[in-house]
Amino acid sequence: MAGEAENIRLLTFVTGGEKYAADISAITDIIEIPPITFVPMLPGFIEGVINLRGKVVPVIDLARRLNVSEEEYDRHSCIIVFSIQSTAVGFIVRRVGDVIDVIPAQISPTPDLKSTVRAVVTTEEGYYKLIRQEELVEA
Amino acid sequence: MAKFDEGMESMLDTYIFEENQLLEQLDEILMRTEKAESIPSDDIAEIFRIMHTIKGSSSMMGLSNMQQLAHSVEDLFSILRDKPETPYDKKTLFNLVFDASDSLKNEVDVIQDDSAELTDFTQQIARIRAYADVMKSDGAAAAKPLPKETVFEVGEDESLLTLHIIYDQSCLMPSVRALVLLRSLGKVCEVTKTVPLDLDADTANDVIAADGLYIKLIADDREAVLKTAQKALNVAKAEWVERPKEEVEAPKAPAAEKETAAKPAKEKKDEGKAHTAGEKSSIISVKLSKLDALLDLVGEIVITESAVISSPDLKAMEASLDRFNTSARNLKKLTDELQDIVMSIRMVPVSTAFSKMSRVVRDMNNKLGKGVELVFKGEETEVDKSVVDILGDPLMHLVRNAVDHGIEAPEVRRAKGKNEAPTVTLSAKNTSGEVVITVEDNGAGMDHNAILAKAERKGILRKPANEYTKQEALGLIMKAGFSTNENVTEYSGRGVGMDVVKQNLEKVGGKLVVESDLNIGSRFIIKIPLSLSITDVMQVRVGRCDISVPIASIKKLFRLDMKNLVRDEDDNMLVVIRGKCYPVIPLSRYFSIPTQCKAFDEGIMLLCEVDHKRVCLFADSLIGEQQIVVKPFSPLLAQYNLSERGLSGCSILADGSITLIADVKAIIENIFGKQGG
Repeated sequence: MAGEAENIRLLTFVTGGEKYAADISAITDIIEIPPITFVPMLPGFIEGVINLRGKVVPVIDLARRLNVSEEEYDRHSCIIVFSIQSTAVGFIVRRVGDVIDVIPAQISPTPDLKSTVRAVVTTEEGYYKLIRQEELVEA
Repeated sequence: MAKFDEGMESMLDTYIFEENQLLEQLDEILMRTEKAESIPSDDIAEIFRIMHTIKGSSSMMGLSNMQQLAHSVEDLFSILRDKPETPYDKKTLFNLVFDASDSLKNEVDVIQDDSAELTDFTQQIARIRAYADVMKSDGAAAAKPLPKETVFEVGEDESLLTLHIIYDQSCLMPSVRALVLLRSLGKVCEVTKTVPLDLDADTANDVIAADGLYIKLIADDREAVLKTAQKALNVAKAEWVERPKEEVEAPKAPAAEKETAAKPAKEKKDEGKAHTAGEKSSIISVKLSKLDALLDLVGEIVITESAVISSPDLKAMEASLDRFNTSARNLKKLTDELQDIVMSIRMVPVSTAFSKMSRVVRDMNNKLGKGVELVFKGEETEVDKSVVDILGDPLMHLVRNAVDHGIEAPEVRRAKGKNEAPTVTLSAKNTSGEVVITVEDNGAGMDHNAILAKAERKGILRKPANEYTKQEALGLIMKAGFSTNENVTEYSGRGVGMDVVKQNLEKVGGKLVVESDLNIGSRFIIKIPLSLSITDVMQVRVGRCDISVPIASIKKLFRLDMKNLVRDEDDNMLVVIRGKCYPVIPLSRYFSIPTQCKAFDEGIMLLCEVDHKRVCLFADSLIGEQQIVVKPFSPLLAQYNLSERGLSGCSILADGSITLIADVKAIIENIFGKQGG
């Protein structure tokens, strides 16, 4: 199902009991959770760093970052690696869902520009919150 | 207005690189020929070629000031090239050319600096021109009149349009501008021919300057063509010309003559080009960042390879692994070789750093009249590119010191009966994992007793003067606040002393040792690691963290005897070692890492020193020594000021795990800052 020109392709995922989506063009990897090296003196939502093919990539616990309920991770949990201003950043999520194609009309931007949620995406399966990943990595 | 021609930005990097190379080449020739009786004709031709190239490429970039300066020098050498017997004063000539070379070098930096304005070389050019006139007045023949080409040939296609371009007077190389113009015209029309035909010919500039440039072209959109031409740099006038009704046939013959005359010249030129191109094709320049990326990648391949070969899955398999093992061994050999080659790509001979010193010595000889000879030994020794870059400043300082303070004035040398020529020797050699660079002079040497006396006056002695060995006494000159020469000269004594040289070298893991014998000479020995990206660290465990402390800052590792531990009223811990008190910093508490290890006599103490301040860091256990490649933290983590708080970066170990690198300097600053305030 090749999307038409104006279609936007999103990756959906679940964490902290909430349904989220992210623009797939910003995602470089979806990986199993490797051993994470703890880095002291950082806010609690930064889990540490991982070795991603020779690059040291920081990892953020998305549920804790978004202040939704604490999440237990198991072997089906994943790290989604985003490229934000050409820097790799990983987000731990409980489950990765599907890749969906939506048209702009399905996306309703949130009024608050500083919100961590960019927009709400309406689909047949319900609402997905489109995350604003650039905002999530700010201190 | 932009400094250079619009649309040439993409060429800027190449231009700057090329210009620097040419100027270095020029310096090298000048240094070599200055001592000789006269300049060999090959070198005159080479200097001419260098100046011509600089003139051409500067003109291409629209940098008219550099172009004019190069042009004036080119003129000087064209006189010498065409009439080698022309008498000239070598000193004046060399000073003019050295000055011009310096100005051009300086200007290359100016171009890269957005805040700096382009320099006006008018006066300098006038000086060079004046000298060129002096040289010429010895009777250079007037230039031969140039044969003219016809603009409108008989039997030419009627549909051809003719565009006449006149360049303004200030434009020195209209032929180059014409080439640039032709390139941009290529987008809007089809150029069939130009008059003069051969824009590469030596005479092209004069022809265009006198008669303007005629371009024959086929175009649909005459407006666009005219606009493009008028927009071009230095174009004073661009207009269409119509073919006259009656054509005089006479000028045709000279035109044909001109073409045949121009051809041999061009062929000769092409030959020359092919020659230099052949030399150049064996060397390419690559961005250092690309090599770094390649080195990283190869490192990863090696790690991944060992992960594959020693995979536990293989051991679990029942099958025989003989063939696998053979292939694995071959793979290992290949990756080792690959790693060696990648490392060697970054290696450059130290001669690049050395040769810059000849210029320094030459200038100082001119000023101080000491006639110092500079000798190179082992300049072919290869070191990492970054090492050469770092060596530049310390070498400059040591060489200046040697010539200024080390070598005595000629009359002093005569009085001492020193007959050998005053010499400064730069030598380089490779020892295991280190490059040793020596700056040696056969000058006055240093009196260690005088140094001790002066150090005592300045109050920088740390023990009674009679306890200092000779070596220790000489080491005092590298302490802050010490300068053997009380007089400030142009070349040294300006406050940036040996202590700065030493500190800069130590920053990159290097060492500086001084040896000296009174009246025989001094020797400064720089030892620097082959590659700067690799750091030796001591790995320790703190809670669940793996922290690496650079070995350079560790003085001593020991297990604490509880009786030496003192707790003060504010619950700060102190340890007493040989009568001295040092604060104890448990890394777990400093970094807020939870740990099981509570007792100080169970863990390991690291006595660290930075800038004469000592602390004892305490860790749970020792893992061992490692060589690591430091990687900075990702910007996401850097925004939490990790480096100021004591973590300078991280590194990936051979097994793929990550270690954090402690910045002892930052830790000490934080600790002492807190205690002081």
